[in-house]
Amino acid sequence: MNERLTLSMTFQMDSHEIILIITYFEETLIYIKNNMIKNDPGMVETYSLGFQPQVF
Amino acid sequence: MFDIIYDVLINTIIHLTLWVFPLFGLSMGMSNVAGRLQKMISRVFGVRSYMLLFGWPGTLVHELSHTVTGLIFGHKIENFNVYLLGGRNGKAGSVRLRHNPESYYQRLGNFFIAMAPIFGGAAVIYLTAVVLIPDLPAVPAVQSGSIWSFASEMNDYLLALRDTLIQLCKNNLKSTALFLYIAASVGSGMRMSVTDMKKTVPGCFILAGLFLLFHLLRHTIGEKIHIPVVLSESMIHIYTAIIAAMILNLILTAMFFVILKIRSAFSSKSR
Repeated sequence: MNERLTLSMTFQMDSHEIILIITYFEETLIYIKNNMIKNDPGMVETYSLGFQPQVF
Repeated sequence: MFDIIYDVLINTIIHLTLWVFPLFGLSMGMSNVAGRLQKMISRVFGVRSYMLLFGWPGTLVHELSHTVTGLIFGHKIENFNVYLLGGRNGKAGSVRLRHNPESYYQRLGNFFIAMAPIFGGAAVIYLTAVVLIPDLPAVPAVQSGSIWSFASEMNDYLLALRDTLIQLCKNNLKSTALFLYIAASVGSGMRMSVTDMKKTVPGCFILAGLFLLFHLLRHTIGEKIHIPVVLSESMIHIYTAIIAAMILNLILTAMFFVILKIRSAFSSKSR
């Protein structure tokens, strides 16, 4: 677990650090999944990302 | 009395001009450039390949920025979608958040939630640069606070950044490729739609009200309260990261344009 992974010639990252970043990322997604709420009172806002219309 | 009102109004306008309006300008500029980059990558690789190779990581960062900012401001998540190959109606991803319209804090949140992909994307590109680029030039620390000194320091910073990138390209092609891939992928998702822009308006009024209240308080209890220096410095970091990301996106757009031209020249020759 403690071996160093060489990502580049100049930069080395501890495998723990990579696993930590992935864990934080995964935890955030799990938190979002577990905290989804349906039919709660309040105002809904939808934020969506679309393709540029001129591409299609 | 008139002097106080004049002073409070002028200081509020100065704060809005220095802190809020540049964010709008930079966000619109960034959205435009990111849209062009997305269009150019889609032309080179095709839409589905763009989504699979570049689109979804950028969309994930985009939607996560909205969601995490929403959680900070007490909004509730109703839906979170990222489409790996692009969804229906040209959708790449979406997030649905619910808030209490009677809460000023949650309404103020709409301003930051709508702009979050610009901050989130810039932060991810900056962190990637910190990790992958050795000897990354330090972000300019403007002491005098004038626009011209900021512009001059920004110019020096961008030139140093260019030299560092050229050096990295010469010394380590793998790191350069990985950095450019993440920058292109995340950069193409740093966009705000017109509806997102409209969602910032109520929050913008609340922000203006907060500035007004702050300057009124300063007049009432004296010069005891200040806007923390760390907040001003953070704004400089955010502006710098967005400007650097915008320039990087422009360079990447130009690169993909050249690839497209070379490819079309070869295909017309083969015919």
